[in-house]
Amino acid sequence: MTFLNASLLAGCAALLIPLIIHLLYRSNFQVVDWGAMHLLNLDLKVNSRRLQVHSLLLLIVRCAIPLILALCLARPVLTAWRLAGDGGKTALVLLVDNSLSLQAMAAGKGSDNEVAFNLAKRTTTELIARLGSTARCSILTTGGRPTHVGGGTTIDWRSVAPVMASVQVGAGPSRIADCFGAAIKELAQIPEARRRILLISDFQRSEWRDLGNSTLAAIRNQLAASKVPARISFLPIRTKPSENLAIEIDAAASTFAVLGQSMEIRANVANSGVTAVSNVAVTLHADAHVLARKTVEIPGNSKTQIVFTCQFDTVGSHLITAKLEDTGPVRGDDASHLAVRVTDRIRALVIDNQSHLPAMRRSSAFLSLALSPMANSSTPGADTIESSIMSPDAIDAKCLKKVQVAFLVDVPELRDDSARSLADFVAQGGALIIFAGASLNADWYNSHWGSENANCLLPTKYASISTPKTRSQPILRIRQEVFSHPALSLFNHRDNGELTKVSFYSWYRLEKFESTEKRDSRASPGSSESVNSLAISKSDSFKVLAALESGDPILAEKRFGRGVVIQFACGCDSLWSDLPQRQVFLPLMQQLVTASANALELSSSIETGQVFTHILKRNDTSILRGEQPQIDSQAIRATVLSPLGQRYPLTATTLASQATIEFSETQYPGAYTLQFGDSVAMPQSQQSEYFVARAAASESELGTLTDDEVLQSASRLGADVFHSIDDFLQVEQERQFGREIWRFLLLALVLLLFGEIWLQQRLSRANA
Amino acid sequence: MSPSARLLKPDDRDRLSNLQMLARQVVDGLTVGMHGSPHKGFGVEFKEHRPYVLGDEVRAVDWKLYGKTDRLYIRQYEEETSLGCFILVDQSGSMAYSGKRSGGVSKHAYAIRLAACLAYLLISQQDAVGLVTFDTEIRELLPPGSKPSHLRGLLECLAESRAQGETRLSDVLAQMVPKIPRRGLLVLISDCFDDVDALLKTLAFFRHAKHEVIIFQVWDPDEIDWPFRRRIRFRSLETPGTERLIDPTLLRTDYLENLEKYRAKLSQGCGRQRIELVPCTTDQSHANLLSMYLSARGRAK
Repeated sequence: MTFLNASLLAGCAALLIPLIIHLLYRSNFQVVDWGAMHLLNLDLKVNSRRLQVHSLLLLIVRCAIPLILALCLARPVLTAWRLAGDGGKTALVLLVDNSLSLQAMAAGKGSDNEVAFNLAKRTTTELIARLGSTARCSILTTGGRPTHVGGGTTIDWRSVAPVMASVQVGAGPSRIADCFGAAIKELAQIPEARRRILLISDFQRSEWRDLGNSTLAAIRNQLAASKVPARISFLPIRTKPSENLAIEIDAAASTFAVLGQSMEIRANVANSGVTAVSNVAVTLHADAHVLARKTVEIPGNSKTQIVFTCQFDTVGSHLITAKLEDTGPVRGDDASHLAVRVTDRIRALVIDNQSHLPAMRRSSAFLSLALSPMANSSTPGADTIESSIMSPDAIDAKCLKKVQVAFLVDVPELRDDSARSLADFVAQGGALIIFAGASLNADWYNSHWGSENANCLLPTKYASISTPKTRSQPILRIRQEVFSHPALSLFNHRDNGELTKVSFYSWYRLEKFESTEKRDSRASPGSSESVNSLAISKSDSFKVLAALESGDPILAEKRFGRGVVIQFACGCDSLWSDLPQRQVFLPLMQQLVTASANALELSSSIETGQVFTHILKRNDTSILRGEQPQIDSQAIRATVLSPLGQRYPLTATTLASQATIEFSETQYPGAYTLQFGDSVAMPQSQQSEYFVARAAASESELGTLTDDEVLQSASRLGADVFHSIDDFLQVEQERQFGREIWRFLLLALVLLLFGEIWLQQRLSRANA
Repeated sequence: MSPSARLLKPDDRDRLSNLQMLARQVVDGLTVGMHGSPHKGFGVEFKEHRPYVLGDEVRAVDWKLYGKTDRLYIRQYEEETSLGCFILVDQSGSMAYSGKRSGGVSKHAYAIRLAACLAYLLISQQDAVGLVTFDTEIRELLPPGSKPSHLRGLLECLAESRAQGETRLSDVLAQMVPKIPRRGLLVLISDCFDDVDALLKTLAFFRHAKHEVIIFQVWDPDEIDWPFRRRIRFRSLETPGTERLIDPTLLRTDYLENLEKYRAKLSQGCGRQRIELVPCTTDQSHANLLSMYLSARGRAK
């Protein structure tokens, strides 16, 4: 036990006062010569014992009063309650939730008409101010991604109020595991031995729902693995249950469009309340111009989808915004954005080995027609795809720089430098679509672009040419299924053409490369070795886009570097199938090219908290036009304008010999504008680049964990739950110093005073 | 200073000069005095008529009545007699107690002053007064006398008495019974700190002998209300070496209870035997007490 005012312990000596008085009283008695002794013939023994007991009790009580008063004033602290450490500072990392859901109104005492996040900020400020210099505090906001508040690792408790005032609510959903990971990492940089992590959050159900036991166990393991384990505490901010409307542009929407082409924008409007809302106005804006306005009615706890159509007449980055005229508490989800990159045309290169033949007699004739139908007809109009034909020998890096998609049509084999150039082309973001053919040298492909080679471009291995085995049915068709690939999803609707009616006469059997097979078999020992298993393979290395009825893959895709390779098991002439003669061939090729080009575009839509990467394309910049092969990325400067109106200056970095701009401050959902300065000479249309940080739709569901659920989560994490900073500080104080017991002593003192009066009264009553 | 001057102050004499000690009942007296005698004879106050019988003196016949009734009646008169009084003064050790509120007057000093006043009063009205001082036994015994010189001797005897020794009141009174042959007044001035039953039993003898008994029970105020608070060592005045160290506050209730019982018992016993019990405390003026008592006694008669 220690004392906060140890000097006042000297007051304990005051217990001698009643003792001395008692002793003096005891020794100093009066002598009286008395006559009526016969009246004193009482039971003196009983009286004497009673006298002794009463006197002793009274003496003890009277001695105890000054003693306890002195102890009380000395503020004793029972160090038996102290859990760890001895004095010193506490390292405290405060995780303050500033996600969208904190825009709801706070519930509870003293928080009338106050936004939950303001309560969280007030709590944080007050907590740090009250901790003062006894703690080294670090504040991380959890919305989007864990972000330092105040710049530095730790924050001065005197400057916490202005710093917290600058923090804004409305960030994306908190990733709980990331937050604790960041907090643990943060604590590792603070030398104090007593470490605490305090999460101030509304404990939104959607953020905790998917937090499995394994994730929580991982956090606990991470805590246990640190040199000095930190203790986690929860401080829930209660919010009033309210109804909310949210709008979100369908995440599957294409972020790539071609000039003049119509594109569909699907906006989902969700009502997380229980009552239906009518006459909800939804407007669609494109680059701040209102395109359309629709009114919908949404039943309670349901979603509705609104489809808008738009097209762009200028090349460059465009911003589409769907706005909801909502009056719900959460404002951040009343608008959803989509950044669309509009290009004038896609450049494709068809490589075949039949340059000696007229164009229309080549095996790539159907393909050329399908890619550029307008150019090959008398119909006026511009093609989306600008295609050109080249022989394999002419391929070099320079010609590949000008195209986005390259087709290999029945090319037997390539020269090594051409093969290398194509591999580089794909690795740097090009799309390669390979058609088989009669003259295709499967061995060359399997060996040069197979798994044994560094440039493993091929998704699958060409095994052997296969034909239908039954004479009664000399053809095979594509298996009926729901296509998920953007290029094929068009054909899920019959009106757009029936892909499943295409007849295949022969095809290459596509098999997994051995090394891949071994790797997969290790992962799942029971899996079949047949090619069929490819269709259900979940390997990320390649994907079967479509398969025949027999199960043989007919179309496979593989990501390579930043590019993509699509492999057809058949040729693109009428000898292998009737696909080129079908109506679906043209849209299929158009979709393949568009989807490939779209897939190659770095997504302009990211989740809040993710890093946005923009690569300066070679054809975008004057630097990369060929005049200056080496890029001085440090000279490229840009600015990002955030949804909150803040500007972030950025400098490009060189990543894989490409000038790249990365931006990580994407905690807040909304549209970000990347603006290039004069350092980059580029067309006016490309001076601004939009990108969008999206918050998960579940963030608009304002349901929070109940108290019991918070306790359960806390117990799984080994955390404590506090409902006020007083509770937290008291426990912290007890852990740090022990428990102050002056209140108990004061109570004992009051009881003793009453006891003294009672004893005195009892004695007086006996004497009366 | 002579004992009479010391014991009887001029104020006392003035206060008592108008008072007369009147025996409540008829006493036998040696001399003709103020007090009625059961013997009819030569007196001033008419008592009754009775029919003449042979042998009566002719001079006693009421001739006027004979003239009216034609019958002979004898006229009888009350005979007045002087009072024979014994004053018994307790000089045991317990009478030596003197509290703060009595102004330094011990119970014994109070008792002898009271006795002196009483003796003076009685002698001044021609009554015979005797004195007995005692503790465990009779220390002085002065037979009754009514001459002024007797008063002086009586006062000297009182002045010389000292409070000491134990109280054996009942024994002393038992010894006194045969020594007072004529019925008269017996005034006992004492704190009566003795066995109440034995005391009452002895007093019953006096009552049987037709004596009038008055007890002036002398108290110190401290003995009545027990004002002690601090721890006190009580040392016995009668038995040297007997001490009690007690906390008065704790024993006060028991003491007062004991006192009440004792006084009630004595009072009831006296009432049964028609003994007048006059409690007095030493903080009262003895002359006032006496005058009030005698006034009350006169009214009662």
